[in-house]
Amino acid sequence: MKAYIYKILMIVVVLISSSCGKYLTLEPQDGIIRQEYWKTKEDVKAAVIGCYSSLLDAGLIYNLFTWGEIRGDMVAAGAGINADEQDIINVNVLPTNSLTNWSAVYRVINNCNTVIDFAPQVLTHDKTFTQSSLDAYLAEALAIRSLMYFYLVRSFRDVPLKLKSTSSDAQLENLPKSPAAAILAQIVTDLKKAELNAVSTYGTPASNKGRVTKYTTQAILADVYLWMEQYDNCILECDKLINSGQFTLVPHSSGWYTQLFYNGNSAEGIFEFQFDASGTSNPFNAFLVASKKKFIAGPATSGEFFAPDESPTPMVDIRGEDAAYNPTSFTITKYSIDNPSYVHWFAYRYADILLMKAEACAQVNRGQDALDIVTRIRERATAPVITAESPDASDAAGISDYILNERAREFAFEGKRWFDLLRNAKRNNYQRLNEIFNRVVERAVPAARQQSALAIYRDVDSHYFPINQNEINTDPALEQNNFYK
Amino acid sequence: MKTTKKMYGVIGLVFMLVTGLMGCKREHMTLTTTSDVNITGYLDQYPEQFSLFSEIIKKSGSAGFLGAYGSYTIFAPTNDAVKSWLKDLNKTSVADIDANALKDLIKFHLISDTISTAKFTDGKLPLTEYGQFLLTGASNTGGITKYTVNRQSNILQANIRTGNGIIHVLDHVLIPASKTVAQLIADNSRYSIFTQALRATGLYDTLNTVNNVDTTRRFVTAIAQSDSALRVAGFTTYEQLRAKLSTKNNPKDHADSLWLFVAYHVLPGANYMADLVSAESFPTIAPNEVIVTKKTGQDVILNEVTFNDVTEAGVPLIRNFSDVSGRNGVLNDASKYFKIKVRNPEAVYYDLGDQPELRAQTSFFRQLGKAIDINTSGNKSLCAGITFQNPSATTTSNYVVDGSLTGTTFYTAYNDYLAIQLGQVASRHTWVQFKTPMLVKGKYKVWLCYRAQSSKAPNLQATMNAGTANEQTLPNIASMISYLDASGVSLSDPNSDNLMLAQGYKRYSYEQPNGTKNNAGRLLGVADITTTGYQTIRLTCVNGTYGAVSWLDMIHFIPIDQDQKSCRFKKTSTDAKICGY
Repeated sequence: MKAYIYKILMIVVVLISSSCGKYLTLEPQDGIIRQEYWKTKEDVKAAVIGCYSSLLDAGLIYNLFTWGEIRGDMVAAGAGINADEQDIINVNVLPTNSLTNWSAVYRVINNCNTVIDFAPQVLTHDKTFTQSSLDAYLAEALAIRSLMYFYLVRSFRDVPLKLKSTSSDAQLENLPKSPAAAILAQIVTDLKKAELNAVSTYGTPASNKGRVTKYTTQAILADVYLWMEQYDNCILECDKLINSGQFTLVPHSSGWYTQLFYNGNSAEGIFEFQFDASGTSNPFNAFLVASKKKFIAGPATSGEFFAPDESPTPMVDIRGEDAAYNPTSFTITKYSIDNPSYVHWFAYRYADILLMKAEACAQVNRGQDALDIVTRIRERATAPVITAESPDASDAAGISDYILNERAREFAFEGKRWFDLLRNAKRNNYQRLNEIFNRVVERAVPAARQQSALAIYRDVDSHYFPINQNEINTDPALEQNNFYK
Repeated sequence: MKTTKKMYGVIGLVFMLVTGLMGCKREHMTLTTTSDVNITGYLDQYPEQFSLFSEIIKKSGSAGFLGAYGSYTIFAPTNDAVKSWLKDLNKTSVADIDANALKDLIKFHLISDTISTAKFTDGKLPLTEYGQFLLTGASNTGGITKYTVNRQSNILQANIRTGNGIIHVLDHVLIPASKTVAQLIADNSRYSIFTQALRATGLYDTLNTVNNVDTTRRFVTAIAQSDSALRVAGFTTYEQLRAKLSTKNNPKDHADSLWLFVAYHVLPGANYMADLVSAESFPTIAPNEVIVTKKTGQDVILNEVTFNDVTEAGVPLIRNFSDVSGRNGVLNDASKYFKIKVRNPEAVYYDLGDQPELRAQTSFFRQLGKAIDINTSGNKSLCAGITFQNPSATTTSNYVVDGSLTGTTFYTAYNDYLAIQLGQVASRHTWVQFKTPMLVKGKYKVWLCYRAQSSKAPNLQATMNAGTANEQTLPNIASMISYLDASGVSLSDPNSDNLMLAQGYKRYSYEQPNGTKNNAGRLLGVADITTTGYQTIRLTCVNGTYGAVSWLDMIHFIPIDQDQKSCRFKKTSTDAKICGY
């Protein structure tokens, strides 16, 4: 009897425990794990689109805007500015400043790295997936990664160069910083590879401007070469875009702002982050438009860059009042005052290519070519005579200053101003450091801090942000920028 | 059975022994909430850097509070810095120095507040415990920029956070100023004439007093005139200066112009150049005389002012000779001779829409039919000269230009006016305050000129210089629903202008036909302006919540002995003032 009971009990135990098999598996039941992803070409496409989606992250756009604008002289503090942002305007940055948090940028980089690491294995699973379409997808990931590193290198100079994805705990590593030169070299290599494999068109304007094409890679490359002071290479890349016949300036008209910015994906666009009514809205309303805005158009914007034309037949610069900013409230309106707003982030547009070429031409004794381009840009904008300058065709510094001012007008609040200033200041081993920064400091830094700010800018390490203290604490291999030690 | 009992006993004994022994093992428990060290703890952690400074702290008796709860900022010199300081004093060790001297040293390196470098400016930090200010800045040597303190030391390592404050590491010991401001001037051959003037007027003593008791008079600022600046103005000796300026032949007399000249160069309080650009008007110890400042490019300029549309050239400070700290204040250096200007009160016709920020916007300033929100949708006032009581209110706060020059009932000067919703309710502004143009000291009748509303507009009362020692509330209440005939005078009476004046009303519009009443000037009272300079005038709603806007056009300040109704204003954007009525 006893033996029976034992046997029955054992059978019951065996039955119960075996029926719990699912409870013991480690795989999540409501998601897909990597081993089961990366099987079809659709998986690859979805992952690549995921990289673009991560570009629409509000934190990333805030980084790109603030890194590119608030140390410049186009924006000023609004009523809602916080202490960290004000410290950067004051040229008084500490490693604890939250604006130096780069995690949103590295998140995009990791997404790209994941595609680069795992997409090739799909070739073995999906026979309809071709080498050329794989290469095209990889080109997109490489180009986005390069753009992100280019933002980092211009903002922080030396940063960790992570080229492999972090896809398991075993791959967590404490990377040291790589020198800026090594990162720029990697960017150039990657972009050249991407240029070779990227497609020329996806068939629709939204995809052509929103995804990486051959032209996108050339545009980033031109910008990188300009930063690296390789002017002939820069001109070469610009000419590829110019001669492609794919791009034109949106002509002056009453609908100019709407066509170029509000609707986006115009004939002038090259690479635009696609905020869209059916997807994500841009984050600008919260800090540029809503009550208690963080940033407004600074006094130099309306007073100098878009100085009112006082001639008997006044001309209005189409890029200024009501396109870039509201002249009475100084609200930055480039990203529209709608809430929510879907105006894109303009990484590159054709006017940028033309002005990059002009800047490079000025450095290689092609001053007249440079001036012709500036004239073309100004004519499109109906810029008034009051903002015109007339440097001699042989005066490289004068022409560069003119282009720098013209870029301020053309790309007002597009996150380019500080990088333009720094690129000009650092040229030829910081030859014109003081000329460039004196004016910026006088315009933008509070009166009681200008002398300190000028002294700080004379230390070239200060042109780059400190590595955020949290990163220093968690990664012992990271070495802080000397200025902030 | 007995053996089993014994066995139980043995087992129990062993068990108790084991647990007992285990109980002897010391348990590690964290008794503190944080492992962060305090200031003294941090310094002790790095003896190779701070052993000498730690020794100073201990010998001076400061270790107690620097190791305890609090919030401090301490500037800690390294061992090398202390050694070189000892060498300068011809001492070999910290032990050779008197404990009180060390206490003063610590006090000069200590501020009772946590101050990171983000709070540094080109000027002073909060007062040290020693009672002198530390001056911050940044300087570049060989391409490397360091923050500097008191121009004596670089900060080697900044912003070390400890449990009770912040440490900044210095490469030099900070030495307090030993000279008073008077001594700084007298010991510098650059100021020989000015020094003689200081001594002759007795103001040398004012600048030589280290008054640590009365904190309001603890610090002074001198703006010295160098011999070269005086020479350019035609004074090569003190005698020439005295001959020209001393009107009573007694420079010690406070009515003597030489005394006033020197007193006009002395400001109460410690005003470094960074302080001078942070406000725009500074009282001097010459009674009721102010120095106004502005910044142009990187220059700090004194007394560049506009009186009746004429801009007078100002006096830049010389940066290299300024910001010199003394025991009791600061010495700054003016590049040119300057003195009190004798001015007579003149009528000021203040068009409230004439604000620099609005004038700069040619697209709407005095352009027909424009209206813009000068409180930027409840963000902040667009104009530095206009302050709203409730800047976050989205209530109407507009600059408006009438849409037509003729055939309108708005006879406002220069065709523009402000439309502001004032009311005693949270959603509106209880008051609005304007910064006036420069007013010379004297007595003025103050007129509010407005376009009347038919109903629901508030009663306004004016306060001059609200919130200052010179605050003065004007007696009359101007009701924004009072038309010109509220005076009770028949507007068609040929003598109406004089009759109205007696009632505190006047016509101020050039175009308004004699029979109509929309625009009115209302006497608010007599303002006694004691100090020449920019004043403020605040218009406060004294009752009611009100729905209608107040249409504010102008404020007239007319010296009491002058004709109050002589000038009227057209709707044209320029040359609107027509006088002779």
